[in-house]
Amino acid sequence: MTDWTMVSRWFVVVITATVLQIGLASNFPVAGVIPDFLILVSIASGIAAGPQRGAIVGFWSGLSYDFIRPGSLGLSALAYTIVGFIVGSLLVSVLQVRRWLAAAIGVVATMAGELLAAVGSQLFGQQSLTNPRLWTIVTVCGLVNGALSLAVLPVARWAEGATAMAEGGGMLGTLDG
Amino acid sequence: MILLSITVLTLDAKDVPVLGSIRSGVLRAVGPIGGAFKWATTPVRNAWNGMNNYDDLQAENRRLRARLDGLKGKELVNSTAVEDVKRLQAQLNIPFIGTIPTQVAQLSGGNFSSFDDNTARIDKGSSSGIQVGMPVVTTAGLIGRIQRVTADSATVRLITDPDLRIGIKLKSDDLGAGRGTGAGQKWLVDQNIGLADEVAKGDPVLTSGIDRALFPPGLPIGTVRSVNRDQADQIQILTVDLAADLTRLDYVQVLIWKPTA
Repeated sequence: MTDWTMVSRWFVVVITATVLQIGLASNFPVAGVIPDFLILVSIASGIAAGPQRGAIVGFWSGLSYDFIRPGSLGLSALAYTIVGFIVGSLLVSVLQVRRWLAAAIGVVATMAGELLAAVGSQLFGQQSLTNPRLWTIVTVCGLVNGALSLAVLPVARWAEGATAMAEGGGMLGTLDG
Repeated sequence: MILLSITVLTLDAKDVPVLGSIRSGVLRAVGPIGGAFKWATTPVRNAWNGMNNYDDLQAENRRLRARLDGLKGKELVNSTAVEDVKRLQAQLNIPFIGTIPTQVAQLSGGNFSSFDDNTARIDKGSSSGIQVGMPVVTTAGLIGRIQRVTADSATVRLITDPDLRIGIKLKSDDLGAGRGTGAGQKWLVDQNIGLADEVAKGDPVLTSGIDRALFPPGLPIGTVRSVNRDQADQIQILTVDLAADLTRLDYVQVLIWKPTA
């Protein structure tokens, strides 16, 4: 049965991240690079709630990003779905996610997700993969999200609420040390 | 979810109108949010940009000082009110577009991803007669062409996009082709300018407008900054300073002109 409280919480998280992307990220570029908050939401959902939720939240956060960007609709949704799912799958047997691991996952998964999105948009005719600043963009987004992942993970756990505990994923996403 | 993403991609590629409408609605909704954030964070943002772009700011400061000196000199020459009015009128009219009708539009919002810096979004769309492929200019020169259109917004593909190849004409009437190499990077003329063709620093570079060109003839692209002779390919490669400042776009004009099929 659908837990509407959890759905509405995730809705709030995705909308808030989108608003922050529009208002904050685009106005405060780091080393000339606009950070990507939406991919962080999908990564955090994968860590906090496993592959299935990672894929679902990844899809909606990516689609939300696609709506505000000029490129093809569905590209970020596809990339972030895959990222959320893979992060969740890799951590499915991990009982406790330590802080350093959460930060490392934030860095690596963001970099992989940005590259995946760049490959996708290159296939759809955008100069993303051949962008001369590709590695700067990927690296800066990764580092920013690595730092932010510690703050976003508790939010993802809040959005997931009691459901994770009830479905047996209770310890996923618990920060330790 | 993956299948759903691919379905959305397919529907978008087929330009299903409902997706365009949803996108327009979302952009209309987020426009004020972006504006409000921008307004509220102005002092902090300025400080942040100052920290991040200190070298650029210094360089720009030097450039502006040099320009100011030049303007002071000009001011002495053109100090009468009549001449001021003439200069203002010159700013209001764009001579190079001739009789082509235009639609004035304003840039809306900003870019929300670093991968989108070869595009810009404007606040007019198909309801204002704008269609895919129409050229977009400022008073200084060409900035790009319309890439996507919804009812009340459009995306401009800027001339910095490496995939947007533009036919050009030089002062000597020699024809070539050029392209950007990304936002903030060089704009190059790298085709068809032979070693024997006469090119000098400062020569204007205009759109050629030859048969089936993407742009009408005579739109200023920029001026030649440097000329490199490529002996291997027997051509000259020109680096061009763009006429329009793409980092400070505000109002633009869409030319109601379509390339011939």
